[in-house]
Amino acid sequence: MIDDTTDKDDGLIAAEYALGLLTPDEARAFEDLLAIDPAFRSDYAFWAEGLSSMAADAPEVTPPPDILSRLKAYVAADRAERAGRSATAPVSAGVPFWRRLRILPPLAGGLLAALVLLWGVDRFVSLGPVPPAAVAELVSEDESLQVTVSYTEDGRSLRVERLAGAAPPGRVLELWVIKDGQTISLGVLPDDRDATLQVAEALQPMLRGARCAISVELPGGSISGTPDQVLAVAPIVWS
Amino acid sequence: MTTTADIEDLIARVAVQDAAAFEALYAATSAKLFGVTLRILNNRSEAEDVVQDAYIKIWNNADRYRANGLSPMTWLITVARNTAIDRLRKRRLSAGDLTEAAEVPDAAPGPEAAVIASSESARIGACLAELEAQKSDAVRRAYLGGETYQDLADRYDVPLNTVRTWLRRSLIKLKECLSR
Repeated sequence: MIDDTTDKDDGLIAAEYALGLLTPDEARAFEDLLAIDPAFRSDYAFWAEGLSSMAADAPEVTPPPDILSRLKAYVAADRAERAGRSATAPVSAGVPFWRRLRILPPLAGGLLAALVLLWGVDRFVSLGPVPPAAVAELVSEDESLQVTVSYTEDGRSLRVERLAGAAPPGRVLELWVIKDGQTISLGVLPDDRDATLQVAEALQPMLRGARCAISVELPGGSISGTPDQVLAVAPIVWS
Repeated sequence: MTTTADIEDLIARVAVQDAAAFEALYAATSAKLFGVTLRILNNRSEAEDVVQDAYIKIWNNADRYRANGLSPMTWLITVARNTAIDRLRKRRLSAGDLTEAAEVPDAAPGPEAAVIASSESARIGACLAELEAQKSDAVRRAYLGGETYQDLADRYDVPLNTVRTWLRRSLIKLKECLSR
């Protein structure tokens, strides 16, 4: 048996990867190799199987039932989103929206709600300077959080009324518009129960055919420019 | 009683967005996966977050299960373990570096104590027992504690290259033992 301790011993790279000892760059490079090389896949499988017993002998513990409830809601929303996408011409290729987001575990309320924005677009176009009527009603599953978002009378701002519930302690709620794979923040919801968010004129057309989301962020809002943990998302429905 | 073949069949159905199969898979495996995340995180509320995240990954990535070449339970456990380790490392980053934690006496058992106490099982247990205590400890701390080469070097107060060499030698022995 050759005692090979040099870096060329590829079986050990698979072990280091399985143990989490590679740097992020090394891990990514290894994953590329996994994708194309069956020998690496077989090495990796060997180590993953062997090492997993260290975790597998953990005693079973029944998780609380609300986890399954949230997972069921997530799965239902994902299936609905896929069905919606396949029913219409796909807007953009790539990773579906839901796959990129994590659903936040429960707040005092356990949120997963439908957001509906109604735009009276035809009325606006045909009747002249009548601002579009838009209403979004966010309601959590147990109804502890209720937020209504609507266009203000001048049609330039969103009025946000938090009828019930709030952001969890030490966090803020942030409102997003998502369209064609782009995610744009409409801002952090203020503490006031009845507040106004400005919507830049350039953004207003984007609100058509888009979806909205509310996420929970650290104070100041998302610094990455995308929602981290999404509470609620739904397509904007036009009337 | 859910067999390995059943689990594999459920994963295949989850891969085509079968919600009923996903629920059945959860029913059959969630107690084990929750146990795994609890062992690694030693914190109930974090473990709940993580097991939920793990099942979301399972829903989203079931179509890639076949390509992995893992047995079904190993795949599920690996997803849970990896998600838990990511969380554990994030917790450490915000709590300060590991050497401080190593200084604290073991009054309240943290994840490190749970790692050491984890029982030997199957081949890996017997094979780890063939290594020197400190070397098998290092392997456990990496797999269940998410410790990096640097963490281990700090813990054992040796240079980074030394701990790398130790570990690679230990892995060679483990590979030989596991292949028997």
